[in-house]
Formats: sequence, C-alpha cells, structure tokens
Amino acid sequence: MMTFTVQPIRTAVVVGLALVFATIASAESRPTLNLYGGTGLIDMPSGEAQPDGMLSVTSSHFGPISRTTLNFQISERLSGSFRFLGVRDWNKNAGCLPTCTGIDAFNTYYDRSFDLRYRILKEGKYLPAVTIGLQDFVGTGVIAGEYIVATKNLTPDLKVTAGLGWGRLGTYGSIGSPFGTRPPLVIGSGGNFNFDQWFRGPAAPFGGVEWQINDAWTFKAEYSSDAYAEEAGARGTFKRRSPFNLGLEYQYNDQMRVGAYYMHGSEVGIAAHFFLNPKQRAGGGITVSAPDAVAVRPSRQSDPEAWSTDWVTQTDAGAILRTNLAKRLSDDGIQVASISYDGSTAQVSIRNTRLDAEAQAVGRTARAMTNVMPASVERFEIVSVVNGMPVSRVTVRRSDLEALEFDTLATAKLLDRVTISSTPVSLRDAVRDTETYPRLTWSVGPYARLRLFDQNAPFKAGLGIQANAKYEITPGFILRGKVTKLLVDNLSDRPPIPGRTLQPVRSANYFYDSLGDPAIETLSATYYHKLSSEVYGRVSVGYLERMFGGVSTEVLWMPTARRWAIGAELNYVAQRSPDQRFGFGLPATMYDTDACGDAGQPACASPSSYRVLTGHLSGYYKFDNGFHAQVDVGRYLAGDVGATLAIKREFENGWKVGAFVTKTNVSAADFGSGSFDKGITLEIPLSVFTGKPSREVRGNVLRPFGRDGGQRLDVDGRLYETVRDYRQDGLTEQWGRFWK
Amino acid sequence: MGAVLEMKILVPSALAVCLGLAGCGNDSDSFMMGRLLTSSITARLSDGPAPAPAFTRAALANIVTPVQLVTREKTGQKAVVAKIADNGGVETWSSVDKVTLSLRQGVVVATRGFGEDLMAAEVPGTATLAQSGAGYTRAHTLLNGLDAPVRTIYNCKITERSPQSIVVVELSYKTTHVVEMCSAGDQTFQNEFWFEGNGKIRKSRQWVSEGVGHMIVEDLRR
Repeated sequence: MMTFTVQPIRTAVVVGLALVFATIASAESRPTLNLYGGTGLIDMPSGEAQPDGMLSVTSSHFGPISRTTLNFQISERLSGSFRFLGVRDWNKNAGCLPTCTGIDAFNTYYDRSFDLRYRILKEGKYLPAVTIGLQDFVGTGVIAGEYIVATKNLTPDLKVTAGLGWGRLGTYGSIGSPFGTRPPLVIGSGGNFNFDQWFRGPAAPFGGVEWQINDAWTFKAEYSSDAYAEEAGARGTFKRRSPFNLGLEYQYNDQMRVGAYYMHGSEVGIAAHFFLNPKQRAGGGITVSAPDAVAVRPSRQSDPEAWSTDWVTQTDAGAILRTNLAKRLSDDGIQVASISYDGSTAQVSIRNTRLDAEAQAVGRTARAMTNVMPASVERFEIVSVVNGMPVSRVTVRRSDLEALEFDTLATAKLLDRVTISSTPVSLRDAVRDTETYPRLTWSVGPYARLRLFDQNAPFKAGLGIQANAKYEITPGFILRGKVTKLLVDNLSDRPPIPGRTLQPVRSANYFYDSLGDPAIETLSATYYHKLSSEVYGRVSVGYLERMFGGVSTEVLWMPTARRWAIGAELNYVAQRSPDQRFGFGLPATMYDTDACGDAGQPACASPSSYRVLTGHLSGYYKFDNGFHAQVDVGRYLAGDVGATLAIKREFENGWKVGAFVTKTNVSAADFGSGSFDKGITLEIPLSVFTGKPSREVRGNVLRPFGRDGGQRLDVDGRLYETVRDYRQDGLTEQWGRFWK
Repeated sequence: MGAVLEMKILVPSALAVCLGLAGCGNDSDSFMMGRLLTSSITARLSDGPAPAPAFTRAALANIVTPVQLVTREKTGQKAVVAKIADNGGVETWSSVDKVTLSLRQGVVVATRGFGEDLMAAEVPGTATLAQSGAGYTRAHTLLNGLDAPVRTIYNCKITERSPQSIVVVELSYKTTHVVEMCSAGDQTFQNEFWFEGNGKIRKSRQWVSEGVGHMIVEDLRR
C-alpha cells in the first residue's frame, strides 16, 4: 500500500555530496583543521575560522602522540576546543622504571586541554584573515601556547599563512621576547587560568601554504615553531629532525576529511576529521506525513445553514468534535486533551508526544480544526499542555489559515496575526479526554555506559540492556523506573582514585559502575502542577538518580512572553548504596582511594550513610542571538556552597552546545585535579539522525575531571527544560514548521 | 475547475457539520474517501528507474473519483493521488500514505510529506506558460535546516514550445510541449509541461527541491 516512501539516509548522502560540491565550487577553499583539531595547517594554526556553528571531532596521531579534539565554532568569530592528549613512551628517559610516581606515574601521559580562538579580522580583498588564539589556556599548561596568525588566499586554490607564536609555539627559532619573560608555570591542582603567562617569553615565527589541488585533495606544507622540547627533547619519545611538516588531505564528503603527514623529518602522521553542521538536517528536512489541508468554509450566502450556531446546544457536540479531532491528529502523536467552545470560538488543548517542533503540532491542530469545526467557529485557541500543565495559548483566526495556506510569506504573515499568551491554571469548562490516561509506556533496549578520562584511559565502556517503564496515572503524575544490566564492559578495571576530603558524592563512580550490575538506576514518582498562570511546580520522590534518592521539589516562574525565568529547587537526599538496589548504606570499601584503605595504609573516613539538603536558585535567560545563559546559586551535593554559570549556543532545530563552570567554597586543593568543576555539554535531537519526528534528545556532559565539589542532583524532568519549548520563544523559533 | 469539483469539496465540510456532530465520525473525512477509492490500485514500487508500472486503464476503471498519477523521478516511486481540498483555486491531491501535492491549474505550488518540501510558491498561470513570450518570475519558499523559511525568486523563461504526441496510461494525446527554464544565482531548474488544445495540462515534469527532485504528474481524468 505504501507509495512515496522517502528514504532519508540515501537522500542525506546525495544532498551532502551536492553541498560539498556547491561549497567547493563557489567559494575559496574551505578552512581546514590541523592535528590539534583547530582551524589550521598541520601542527600550526591558521587565521581562518570554520563556518558559524560547525562542530568537528578530530582524531590525530603521529609518533607517540595522539590527540582527540572536539572543536566548536561558537560564533562567527569565536571558537573553542576541548582536547584529550596522550603521549606514549613518556618514561623512556625518566630512569624511574618500574616504580615511577607523580607526573611519571604512567608510561602514557594523558592530559586534557581547552583552546580559544578569536578571529579579529575577516579576509578581504587585500587584508588577510587574522586570528588570535590561546592553546591549553586553562589547566596544566603542558601544551600551552599563544599565537597571532594571518591567512590570505592568493588564488582560489592557494593560501598562505604566517604567524607568531609564544609558549610552546615559540620554542623553535625564537626572535626574542617582545613582551617580557614568561614566568614559570604554577600547576598546583591545574585548572586555573594562566593569565600571567600569555604572550610572554620567547616568540617565534611560523607559517605555511595550503594548495587545493582539486575538489577533494589538498596539499599542505608548514614551518613549525614548536621544538617539542618536552616530548622529543627531555623525554625522547620521538626524534625531531626538522621544523618542516608536509601533508596530503582528502575530503571524503561533507562530513569527513582524512589526512596523511610527514612530521618533523622523522614520523608519519594520520588524522581524521568529522564535521557536523547543526544548521543542516540530513535529507533537508523532517519527513512527516502530510498534514490535513485547510478546509475552506462555504460562503455564508451560498450555505447559510452551515454557518448556523445551533450546534452549540447539541449536548454531545463537544465529545463528538473532540473525538473527530483526535482521530485526525493521532497519527502525528498529538493528543487532544480537552475542547471547549461557543458559537464563534473553539479552545483545544493538545499534548504533543512526538513532533520536535511545537509550532508544527499547533499548525497541524489548526488545520485539522478547519476540517472538524462548524463554519461559525472563526477563532481557534490552541493550548499546549505538557505533563498536565497548560503553558501557552496560540490564538489564530480561521480566515487567516484559509487565506495564507499557499502564501510564500505565510510564516511571517501568520506570526504577525496570531497572539500567544499565558494560560490560567486550569482551562475553562471543557470536554476532556477520558481515554488516554492512565497510560503505560515501556521499552527494552541496548544500554551503554561510558566512563571518561579516568586517568588510565581516555574512556572505559560497558554495553548491556536497559528496561524503561513510565506509568502516567494522569498527564501530570508519573511513575518512572529504569533498570540496567551490563553484558560486556571494562568498567571494573579500577582506575587510580586520588585522595579526597569531601564526601565522594561523584568520585566513587568506579564503585557504582562495578557494583551496580544489575542496577535500579531510577524508580521515582513525579507530580507536576501549575500553581498560577506563570508559575509551575514539581515534586519528585524516590530513587531519583543512580547515586541519590530522596525528595526533590521545585518551582519555576516563567512568563510566556518573556525571555527569562526564575526557579528555585530544594532537595533532601541520601546517597544510595553503590549496588543501586534499594539501600542507602554506604560500605567502607567505597571510600577506598590510592591514599587510604588498602593494606598498609591508614583507614579512610567512611561514614555509613550520607544525607544532604541541597538546592539552588536559578536564573535563565535566552538571548535573541541564540545564546542561553543559566546561573545557579546554592548548596551542592557535598554540602559546598557556590554558583554555576552555564552558557549554551542553541540552534532552532534543537542542537545545543555549551560550557559550564562551577565555583564553590571548596578550595582548589580540596577539590583536587582541575581545581573547580567545569565541562562541556552537547545535546543533539534524535531527529537529526533519523529524519523522522521525535522529541528525543541525545545529550552528553564532558567533564575533564570528575570530582565531588560543585555537583548537582541529577533529577529527571526539571521544570525549565520541560516547559520552555512551549513558551513564546520556543513556539516561534521554529514557526516555519507551523505550515509543514 | 467547474462547479462539479467545487461541490465535491463542499460535501465533506457539510458532513463535518452535520454528520460529524451527529456522530458519523471520520467517514466524512474526504481523505479517507480517497484512501478507500485508491487503495485497490496503488502498489509499492522499487527504487531506481521505474519498471513497467502496474497502472492500466482497466484498473483505473474501478476508480470513480478523479485521479492523477504522480512519479517521483529520483526514486521511480509512483502514486495515484486523489483530490482532497480546494482552496481558492489551489487543489491539494493526496496519496494513500498522506503525501500531498498542491496544484494551481496544474502547476505545483506546494508539497507535503516528502522531507524537503516546497512550502509554497508563486507560479506562472497556464496562459503564461502556453503563450507568453516575455520572461517572468517565480517565488519558491522552502525551510532551511533551522526551520526558517527561505524564499527564492527565480527568473524564468520559456525555451521551447513544440507539438508532441504523448501517451498517458494507454491513451495518446496530441500536445504542445513547453519547456520552462528558471534560475536564481547558481541555482537552476527546468520544468516541462504538455498542454492539450483546450489549454489544460495533460502531463508535466516539475521541480520541487534539491532533496525531492522532479515530480512527473500525469492527469488520468478523461
């Protein structure tokens, strides 16, 4: 019976290739990445920037050195990188084998680093693109360097780069120290900004050329100002014979580029770059079956009977209208929660369970209403309800729908004519959906657990199965549980566990990974309730996350037509046993570290239970340039007091890339490696990969150092992220989808 | 587009008002009607250049509602579409699996259900296509990857008008073959129309978008 079955994957490839060729043919050669994963030549940076929003992952290897980098073009000018670095044979010259300690404790040296780059000048007819950059600007500073660099296209196929580097980029061929000597690095616990080092000490020039041979192939040659003093010199991990590096790169498609290099006159290198552009969707769009077409009413003159309002008095009219509407919308996963009406207005409240754009759910409801509602109804009020809480009301005139259906400016014109407003706590007298709830949804599927950067390896992983169940007694009263069982994993390899002074609210994760098998990750009840037209409430009770259980309460003040919201959260929780069954007893063994607990070492302090009152005041603001800021001030899980700042770049289609820092009253020494909590967040809507509508989002938090200070409770279904898609800005930023 | 077609459209709305409220439910759904009528002859066809289609006049004889045959050139997939709505001269035609094409006098102004859909378009009328010698413009609106509408103005001209005999499911027609070329910057596309003597489009091959490609629309109405 199927006819037009659109195949998103194949289309995606075709579109992808078409875009590559279009890009390459039209502009000067694209800005490429270097082995550090930032915009550049081979080992050296360049003056260019990636296209705004571009996200890339680079894996590069030469000699003993491997780097894995996540790079993000934060804005048109600013980009940032997070990198995991490994240097093998670190102790070749150390002479401490087999019992090395401190920085020599491991034969492979691992480090994490952050870079920032800012393009101060865009390439013009005569002027080059100029970028100023900080490499490894926070942290141990082992690969720290600063630079200013310019790149100019001489022809569309040939560009040249010249720059001046400091730090490790000033270690070979120095021309002196223009800004004074570089003070020695005080590493301490790492993680601090090394302000006083920046652009100090010897500076050295570097440069290179990049020749785009054809659409796919690029040749690169550079003169490097990096002497690899530590890696090649002091530690002898490889032999550096020359400052010249050569490379050949191949653009496989829009998403992938690979390269091979001859490095430092002695080593062969390889790199693979993977590109994700949040601004593009595979296949060019979300494939959803067509909506109802707008049904145009007959004119009042031609069919006065159709315009009669007598139907209002028909006792079962509401139930019939609701059922008819629900049938039309059920294929789109839209539930019609309630309906109320008079002769000229109909108010319909909907629950959107599938479409990633609420505007599309509203648009489809509006078009379905033109097919269902008697002709006398001119005003449609569509209320978005989430977890039983009505959030926003979109009021749209039926005659506007009829007039604009095929208008090429329909998106903007309709947005001008609708009104979006807050809704009261409960909707006026309405015929309600009595069939859909209670509702049980469940799934059994694959499960993956990652442990990143545990000192021994970039990551460790486990694969297994998970079972999820969600029982919605009413739309706002939800029981939820998740059980996981690992089948294969290397999570039970014990990593080094540095000593600590705080309660191990997170840093005992190794014990949770290895003992919780199977684990009841969550088992909780959540109740949502709208408290006033702009205030929302939540109470959650139970095993809230894998390490904590208890009570979590929250209120959120979020006016529909504003860009800000203010929230308050108060939780009283106890730490769960690492086996993640039902207990809250903490075994003495989970307190073991490298400094205590083992034979011959002092016993660790090991309270057999841990309870804490934790909570935050939170402020949220969505800037109109796509950035979002959140500030949380309060008491964290270890009892420490402080604040978190989180900045995200949010794309209208649901991608979010962000970074956060938390500073609490825990000293850098007590915090341990990293000095304070920080990390990167990445959220990708599932629909990007499937081309099918879905509200699922895949997210990940990358923390260079997982420690105990500045940690928040990880409770599901916090209010702000639950309701903000239904606020005015959430509805309108994907307004183009109203008509899809 | 005479009174007959309009009446067909009015029937479902009338049902929605009367029968719908009386509990007749979704049977009044014009789309469902199309589904019932067309389901007997639609078939799923494999990718690649279209193999011999299973559409014959004998099969079409079972369909009482007017239908057109749509082929997605890129994949060779075919569907019979039936009219489900008429809004101010724009007719929306739907396949069984809810993929729609909206046509103004046979010229595509919107698609839904394909992925990279044509959201809306300002298109030439049949008179312009059949007779005009001057250039004219089209406006096409698509959504970009961030769901924002992008409206592109194309400059178009007719590059060919020549007599051509065509066959549409066993029946042959004497037509005028019209080729339309449109461009905006480095984007170009070409549409083809086959006009009958009465000024109606019997067959066309029309561009939708990069992702969807061309649609071939053949009018199966007698």
